[in-house]
Amino acid sequence: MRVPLAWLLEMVDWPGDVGSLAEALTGRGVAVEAVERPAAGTAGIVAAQIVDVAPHPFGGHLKLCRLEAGRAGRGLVVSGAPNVVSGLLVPWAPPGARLPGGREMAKRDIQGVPSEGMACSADEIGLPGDHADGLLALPADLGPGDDLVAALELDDPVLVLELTPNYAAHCQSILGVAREVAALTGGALRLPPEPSPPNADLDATYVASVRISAPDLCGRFIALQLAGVGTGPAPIRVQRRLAAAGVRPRGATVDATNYVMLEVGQPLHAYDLRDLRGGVIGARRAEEGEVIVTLDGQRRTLRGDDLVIADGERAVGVAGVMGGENTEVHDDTREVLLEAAYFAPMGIARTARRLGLATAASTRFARGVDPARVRWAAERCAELIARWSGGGVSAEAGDAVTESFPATPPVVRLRGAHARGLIGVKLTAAECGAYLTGLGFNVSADGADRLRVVVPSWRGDVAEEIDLVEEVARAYGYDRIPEALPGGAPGAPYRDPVADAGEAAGAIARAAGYSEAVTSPLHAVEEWRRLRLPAGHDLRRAVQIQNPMTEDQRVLRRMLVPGLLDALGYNARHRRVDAALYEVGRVFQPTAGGALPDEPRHFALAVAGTGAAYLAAKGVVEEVRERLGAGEARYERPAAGELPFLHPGRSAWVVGAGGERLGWVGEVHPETAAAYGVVGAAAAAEVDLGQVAAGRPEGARFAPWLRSPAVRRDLAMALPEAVPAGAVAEVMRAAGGELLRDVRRFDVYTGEGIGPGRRSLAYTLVYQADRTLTDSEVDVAHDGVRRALVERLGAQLRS
Amino acid sequence: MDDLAIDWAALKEQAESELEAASSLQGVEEARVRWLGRSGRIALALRDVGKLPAAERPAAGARGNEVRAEVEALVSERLSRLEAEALHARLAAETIDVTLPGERPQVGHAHPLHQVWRDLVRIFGELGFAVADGPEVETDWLNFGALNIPEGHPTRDAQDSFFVSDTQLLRTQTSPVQIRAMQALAPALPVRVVAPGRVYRRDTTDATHSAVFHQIEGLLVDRGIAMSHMKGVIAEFARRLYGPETKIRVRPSYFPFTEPSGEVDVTCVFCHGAGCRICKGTGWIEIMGCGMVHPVVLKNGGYDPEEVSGFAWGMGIDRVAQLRYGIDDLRHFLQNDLRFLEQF
Ligand SMILES: [Zn+2]
Repeated sequence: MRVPLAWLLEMVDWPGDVGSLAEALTGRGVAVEAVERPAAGTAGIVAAQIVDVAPHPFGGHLKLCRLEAGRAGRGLVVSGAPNVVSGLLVPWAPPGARLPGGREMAKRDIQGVPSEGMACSADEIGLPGDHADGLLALPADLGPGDDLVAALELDDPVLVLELTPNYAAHCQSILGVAREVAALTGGALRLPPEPSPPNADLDATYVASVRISAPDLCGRFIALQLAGVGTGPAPIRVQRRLAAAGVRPRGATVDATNYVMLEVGQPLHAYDLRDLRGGVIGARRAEEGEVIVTLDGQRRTLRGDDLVIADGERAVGVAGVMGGENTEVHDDTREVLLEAAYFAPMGIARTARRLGLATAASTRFARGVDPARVRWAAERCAELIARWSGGGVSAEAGDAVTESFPATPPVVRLRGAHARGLIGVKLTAAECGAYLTGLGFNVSADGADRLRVVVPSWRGDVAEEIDLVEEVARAYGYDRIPEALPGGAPGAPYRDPVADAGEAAGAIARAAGYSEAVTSPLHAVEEWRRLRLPAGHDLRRAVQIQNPMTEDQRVLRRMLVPGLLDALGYNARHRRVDAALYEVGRVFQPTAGGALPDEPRHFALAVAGTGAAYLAAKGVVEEVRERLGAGEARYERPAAGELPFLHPGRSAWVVGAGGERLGWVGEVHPETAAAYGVVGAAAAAEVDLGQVAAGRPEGARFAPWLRSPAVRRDLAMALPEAVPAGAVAEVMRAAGGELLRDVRRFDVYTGEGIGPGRRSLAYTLVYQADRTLTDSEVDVAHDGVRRALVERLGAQLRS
Repeated sequence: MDDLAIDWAALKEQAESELEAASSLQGVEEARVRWLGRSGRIALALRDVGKLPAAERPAAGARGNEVRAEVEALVSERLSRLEAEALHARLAAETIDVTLPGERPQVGHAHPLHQVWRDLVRIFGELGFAVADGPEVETDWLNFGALNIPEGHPTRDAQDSFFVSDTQLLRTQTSPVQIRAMQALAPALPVRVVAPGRVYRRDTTDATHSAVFHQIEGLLVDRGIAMSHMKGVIAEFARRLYGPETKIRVRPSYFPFTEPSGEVDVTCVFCHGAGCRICKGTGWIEIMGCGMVHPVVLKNGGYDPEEVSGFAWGMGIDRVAQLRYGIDDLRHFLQNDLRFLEQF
């Protein structure tokens, strides 16, 4: 909503400048987004009469005009305008005057003849109009010497409002904003004059009858018939105000509909009577698939719940949104059917949104227009058309009202205690009532500390007590409400062990050199190809986005690692090949039966370049698991195709003590790494934090260490390569029993002296008890370990 | 018998000069053995004391022991002086260029969004608000309907939301957590929660728009809660986030799930209210929306609006991070460029 200041000040006074007005309105919730001053500084332009016209001595189309401007003096200007004629009253910018845009006039020669400033066309002084039309012919109510900057509001600022939906209902008009200003100042409103009702006795060429066949969508439909409409344009001041408000002037009839709409918020529409057929006009539901060409030349296909305006034969407009091209008024339109209506706001909102047509009319109807102004607006508009165009009489063609017309304003009770309690300020009911009265509510006492409030017709947004509380708070001023801290008990305790686990895992990852990434959970289906997931793979079972905007928003992620690999690729493309990233975040698993998807939180890491190896990634996972207090885990080689994005020989499931899969770790398959643009090797891991944290004990417990000496025994053996180190450790721990405190691998060796397909593993075994162990006790335990390795794994002991 | 007399003074003098001449630890050790050893000069001299007349022996013996103690003291003094010199020389030799760059451990960086996230949660934690949580895929009832956003309301426009089914969508705001938190706690009081989380809008990604961003929502429901408390808590929060001089201003606004509603501005953190480029010369920066919980929302949360009241607020975590770090392009947050991450 754009509010030309001069128009607003015609209805209400404001004691300060435009800046203070903008601030005050914003403070009341009528947000002024900007104050535009497109013609600030314009000065010195006056009305002047052309008293003499002479040809330019060098011929051509230039003429010498002698101007007479009363107390503003006289002068001689050179003009090339086509409409220069003696007697014309035109704008004159004498030397020293400043035009909109800042150009300062001076005396200068035009083809050898000095010109004292210039006589101006409309566009040269910032008014709407075509330069080719020549000098602006000023209206007769102006006289030579009049200051045009003031008279034509040439330097008028415009308030640009950014209205929230609740204020959009009543502030989408100059009158609505003026009411807010009046409430601020306590000043009086100067309402536009009451129009006289149409009373012409028309020898009608078109006998309209009004018919509403969709009473739930159309509450009222008034049709006035105008005849003998004149040919004149709207006054230049009107055109200026329309232009400043963002509406292009297009002839007296259309200008009048727009002017009244901006004035009081009631959209109106004018039809060329010649094009209406069947003697009927009204509102009906569109037929499914019905097509209409709107005023903007677009073909619109309608649905059965859209409302159209139709004559006896066809749709002539999309109700409340835009008129039809088939009945548009033209320069030669002399007979007009003028429509003023009340439509159900939700219906208009739905149609406008579906058609993508947010017009001046639809944004008003969709918020609910003032039902008390529908008829007023129609009559005012008819009057203005007649006045501006220079002719025309009007008669009523019909006025139909249905049950969806809000004829009686709602009555709402306000309890003083309720307002005090919610606002936090000691206000009496009477004080609340005074604020509401200032806003146009009709207030009366309703028992002690209670008000009966009749909502004004233009406040369709107010229906409940809470709405009145808001009005009181707004009028009292949010800035005057004190700041206080609430007392009361503390909130319920909250524990989220998974979030805590995520924080702990992140700290470990950062300490290990990984930086934290945040990647988008919206993924492309293309990820599946990069990850080498075959059709039917479980990880392709993802939550689908039904209305993605781009291809990379098709599904919700099942894993974090693709996002991290993408980031590694991005960094590699920016010459950062060595990179280590981790992320803690949600993944999404579809569920059956229409329930919301599961959203387990994962911890994942990915590393490229130096250190991108299986054991390095596994080490971080181990550190995280151990710090989180999770129990023992096993690392199991995945079956073929289970984790196709990983190196088949350098990847493993992380398996919990109960056999549950906590996640996986591995080097990234070279094809996957290449698909993401990762340079060289990459390793990655991903675990389910919820599952890892589930093993977390209540907290760490201090365990005193043994004071007795530990005995270390080394052990080396040769084994088939297929025997995993994990199995060796398990056998040793099982056989060593309680005395075996620790098993540390210190060497792996393949090659000479071991034999093909075999490798050597060397361990240090630490024996310790709560007493000093004798050599023979350790020997017994250690021999047991050695025997078990031979018997159960076929180990060939080398020491 | 005179030739039997022992000249202790001469011995001591000689020992002193030999020790003085020893310039290394080894030299001192050799001198020590020579003088104080089992067959050293002093031991030999003391043995000679037995040959003296009985009357002289005690005095000569005592003198001899004295000299031995004096030479011992001399040896240890000489030793410690040489050790000190040796240490000094070693340290001098070990001098390095202290302006060389340090060998830094490779430590990762926390993402700026999460640093801000943790800060906000910490501040609200100090003010007595615990973290509440909700899913990112939400029902349209909890994302819209329960929040007093009816069918047909413009913010429900399918154009603005990612749907995963007819009734489920990626939440467009953290506000559904308000309903979840109330439903989990009702009828217990108070409800004092903050809900940080990821939200989604169907926006084309550019410098100022992102389909994926982050909000933090707060909610307090109790008996006797008023707008003055809302202003008090938000002002306290703003002071803790932006500094003790920070002031807030609340302007009326509109949200379907709060009434009365407001937008909160804080005094510009860059110019402290004087007006600058960041605040577009106004001296104020908008940081959040807030309002008194709408009665319909309280009811949907399981509370009676005649008995309790409350306020809620919501703010963009990305925006707080942008302001704090001077990040002018939202796309940095999800790009994970290490040149970006390593600045925080
Ligand atoms: Zn500033």
